[in-house]
Amino acid sequence: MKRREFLKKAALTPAALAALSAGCGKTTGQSGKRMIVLAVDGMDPNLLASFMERGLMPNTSRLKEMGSFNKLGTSNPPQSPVAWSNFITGAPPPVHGIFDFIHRDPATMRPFLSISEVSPPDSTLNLGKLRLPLSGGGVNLLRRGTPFWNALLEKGIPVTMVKLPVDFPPPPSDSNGLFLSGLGTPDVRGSQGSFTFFTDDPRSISDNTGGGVVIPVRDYGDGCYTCRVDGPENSLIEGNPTMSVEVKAWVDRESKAVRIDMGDASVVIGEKQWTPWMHFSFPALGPLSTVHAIGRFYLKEITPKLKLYLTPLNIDPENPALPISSPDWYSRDLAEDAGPFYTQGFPEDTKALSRGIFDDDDYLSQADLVLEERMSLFHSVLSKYREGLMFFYFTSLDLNVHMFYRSMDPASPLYGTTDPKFAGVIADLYSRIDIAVGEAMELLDDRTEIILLSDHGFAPFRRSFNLNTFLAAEGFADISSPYERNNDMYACLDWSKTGAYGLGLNGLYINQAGREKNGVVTLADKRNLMENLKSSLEGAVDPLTGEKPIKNLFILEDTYPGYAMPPWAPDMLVGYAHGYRASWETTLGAFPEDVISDNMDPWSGTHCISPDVCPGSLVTSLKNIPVNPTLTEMGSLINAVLLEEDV
Amino acid sequence: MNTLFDLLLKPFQSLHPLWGLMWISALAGVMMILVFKKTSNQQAISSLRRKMGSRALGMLLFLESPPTVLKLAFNLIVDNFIYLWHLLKPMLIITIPFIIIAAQLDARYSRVPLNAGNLSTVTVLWENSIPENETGEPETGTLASPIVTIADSLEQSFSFYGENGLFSYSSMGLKLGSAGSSGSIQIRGAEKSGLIQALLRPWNSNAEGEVLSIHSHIEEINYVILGGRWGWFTVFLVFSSLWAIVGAVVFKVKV
Repeated sequence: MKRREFLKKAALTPAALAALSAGCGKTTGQSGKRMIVLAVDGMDPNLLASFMERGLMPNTSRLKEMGSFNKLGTSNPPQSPVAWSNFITGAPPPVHGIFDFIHRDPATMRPFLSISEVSPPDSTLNLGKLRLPLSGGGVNLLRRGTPFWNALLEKGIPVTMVKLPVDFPPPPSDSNGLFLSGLGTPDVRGSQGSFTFFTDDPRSISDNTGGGVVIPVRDYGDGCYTCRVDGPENSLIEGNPTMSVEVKAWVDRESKAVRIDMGDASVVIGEKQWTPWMHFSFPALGPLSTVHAIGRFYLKEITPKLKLYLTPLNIDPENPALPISSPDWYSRDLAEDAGPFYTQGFPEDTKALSRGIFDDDDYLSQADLVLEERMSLFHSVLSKYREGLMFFYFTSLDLNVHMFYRSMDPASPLYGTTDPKFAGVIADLYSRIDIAVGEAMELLDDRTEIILLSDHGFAPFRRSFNLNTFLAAEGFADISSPYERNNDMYACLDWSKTGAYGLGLNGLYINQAGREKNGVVTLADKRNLMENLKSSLEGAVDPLTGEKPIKNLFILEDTYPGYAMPPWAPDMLVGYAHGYRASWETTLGAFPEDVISDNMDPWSGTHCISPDVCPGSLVTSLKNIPVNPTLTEMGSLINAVLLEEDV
Repeated sequence: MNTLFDLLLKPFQSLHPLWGLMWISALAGVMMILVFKKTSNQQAISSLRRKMGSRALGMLLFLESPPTVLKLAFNLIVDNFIYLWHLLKPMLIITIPFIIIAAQLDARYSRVPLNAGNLSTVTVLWENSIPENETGEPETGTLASPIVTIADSLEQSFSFYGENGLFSYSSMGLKLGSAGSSGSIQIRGAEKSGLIQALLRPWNSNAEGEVLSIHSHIEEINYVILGGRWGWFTVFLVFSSLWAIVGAVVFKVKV
C-alpha cells in the first residue's frame, strides 16, 4: 500500500469507528409477518371486561374491536410456572415436567424449586482453602420439552423474548434469538428474593422473618450505622463462607435523611425515598473474580428508630454473575439503554408486605418502581423491534392483585382493615397495562399482529385450607409428635401410618412404597386410596360458610392419560373452589390445628385453584383463532401466523 | 491550559463527545511522537536496533553453538537496557504533557452531563464550622433529598437532579456540571486553588470562603465503539497510540 493510501485509510479510521459506534439497528430486510405478544401475568378476563366497560382500557377495547376477546384456558394446576411452560412447549406438565413451584425428591423427601437447579462442580482443584472448579457445575433449567420458537429460528425468523418466564438460564442463542429470563430467575444469593432490613428497633427483630433477614444495627453516638450486606456464598473457598460488603449509613434525624456510603458511591435519601440502583461488588478471589449485584435502599423510617430496607440483591444485568440472557450481552445492552432493572423473577416484594416490614404504602411505592422500570424496558425493546416475534412479559399485575385483592373484595377478612384509598389500585394497574397495549398498537399494520394474553385469572383467597391437617383428621396421615405439627417438612408425621401428604400449592402425593423414602402404600392399593381421597376431599364442607372448599380433585393419570409421569410429579392435584386456597403452612408440610381458617395475610388473591375457576385472557388483533382457545395452543398459533401457515 | 483546549475543541462543539475525544487523542499521538523524535537520540536508537536485530539473527544462525548463543543473548539483554536508557529521557519529557492532557480529557469526557433525570450526590466539607441557615432552593436543578449534616466531620451531603447539564446552589458556593457544549469542562467539585489543582484537577473549581472542598458523585461515561463499552482513557490510549504509529511512519521516527 502506498503511503498516501495508508494515510487516507488511517485518517478515516475514527470516522468509521464513530459511525459503527452509533450502532446499526438490526434490519433483516424481511417483509414477512410480525407478531407482538404482550404477556400479562394474571390478567383476569372478568376484571378486564369490567374495566373495558368502564372505559379504563380504551386501547385494549380497540384491540378487541379489531379482533377478538376470549377467555383463555389455563393449565392444571393454574400456577404461573406450569402455565408458562405449557405456553412455551405447547404441551402439558408431564411433557415439560413442571407441576408446581415446588417439587420433592421422593428418595430424600427434600423439596426443591421446580424451575432450575444449581449443581456443584464435578471436580475441583484444592489449593489450601481454595476450591477451584475444574469441570461440571452450573445452573440448569429443569423445564423440558421443545420451545415453540425453535421452529421460527430454524426458518431465520428473529425472536425476542423479554422477561420470559421459566427460562432461567436461557438457552444458548445467536443474535437472531434474544432472550432475557423472567419468572424463576433468582437473586444473587440464589433465593427467589431475600430482602435485608437494618434497624435498631428491637420490635422489628424476629427470627421468623421469611423472605428476608432483619439485621440489628447500632448508632454509637456519631450518627453512623455500619450495615453489613451479605452477598452470595463463596464456593471458591472451603466451607463456602458468605461474602459481604460494608455499607455506612449516616443519619441526620433533624432533616430526616440518611447518607449511604459504599465504596466510592454515596447517595442521600429522605424518609420514604428510594436510592437509585447501587452496585455491589463481592470479591470472591481478590480482584480475579468478583460477583456483581445491584440493590436499592429504602428509608422507611428514621425517627425514633432507623428502619432501612434493602431490596434483594439482584443479578447485575451489566455484569451478570449468572446467565440471565442469551446472548450474554443482551442484558447489558438493555441495561445500557433502559437503565439497570430488577432481574429477579418476582420483583415486587410481597414477602416484605406479608411480614409487616412494608405497609401498603411502602409496598405500592416499590411496586410502582418495578412497573415504571418494566415500562422503560418495554419502550427500549419496542423501539428496536423490527421483524419476527417480540414477546414481552409483565409481572406487576399478578403480584399486585395477589396483595390487593382484599381492597375490592368485601368478603375478604382484611377488607375492613384495608384503607379505602387503595380501592382503585387494581383498576389503576390495568389502565397502566393498557398504555403499553396502546404503544404496541402504534406498530399495527397489515403485516403486524398483536396478542395480549395472560396465563390465568384471579379469585379471592379468603379462607386457607390446611390440606395436611385435613388428611390427618380424616385418617390419611398420622401425627405422632403433635408438638411438632407447626414445623415444616412433616416433622410430626409417622410415615409408617401415612397414606398421603400435600406439598406445594396444589400437589397431593401418595406415600408410595418403593418410590417415597418411607413409602407404605402398594401400587395395588394406590388407585383405591386416590378414589377415597377424591370423594373425601370433594365432599369436605367449610363449617363457617357451608361451602365446599374443594371443587375438583384431579387424579393425574386420569387428567393426563397416556403420559409417563416423572417421579417428582404429584399423584393428584387439588382444585380449590372460589374463595379458598391451600394455606401457606400446608405447602411445606406443616399441620396447623384448624383444617380451615381465615386468611389474614395481605396475599388475598389467588389462582392456585381449580383451573375452570380462573381462566386467563386473550385479546388479539387476529380474527381467526381456535374455538375455546387455551394457553397451550398459543405457541402453535403464533408460529402459524409468522410462518404464514393456515391457522 | 483550559483555554488552549477550549480552542482546540471548538470545531467539535456541536458534535458527539467521542469526536472531540478522538481528535485530541489523534493530535496527542502525533505530537508525542514528534516530541519523542526531537528529544531522543534517533541515530543511537537506529544503530542499537540494527545491532539488536543482528544479535537475534546470530542466535538463530549459531544454534549449534550454545556458548555463542549465550554470549549473544547476554549482549541482547545489555542492549535492551541501553535501549531503555535511550527511551528514558523522551518518556520523562512526554509524561508531563501526557498527564496534563489526560487531566483535561478526564475533566471533559469522563462524566455524564447533569441532565434532568440524572441523580447525583454532593458532599460539602466545611473548613471550621457548618454555617447555619444554608437551606434554600438551588438556582439550577432540583434537590432530590433533604440535606444530611454530619456535624463531627463538618460535612453536608444531598442528592440532586441537574438541569441542562448544570446544578448550582449559590448559598453553598456550588456550581457543578457544564452548560457549555460538547467537550467543555464538567465541574464536579471544588477545592482551594493552586497550580496543582489548576493543572491536574481542572474538573474542580476554586473553593471559596468557609468551604474546604466539594465532591460530587457523577456517573462515568462509557463510549460505545464496535459493540464494546470503552472508558474515555481506553479511547485516548488506543487512538493516541494508533496515531503515534502513523506519525512514526510518516515522520520516520525510530522508536
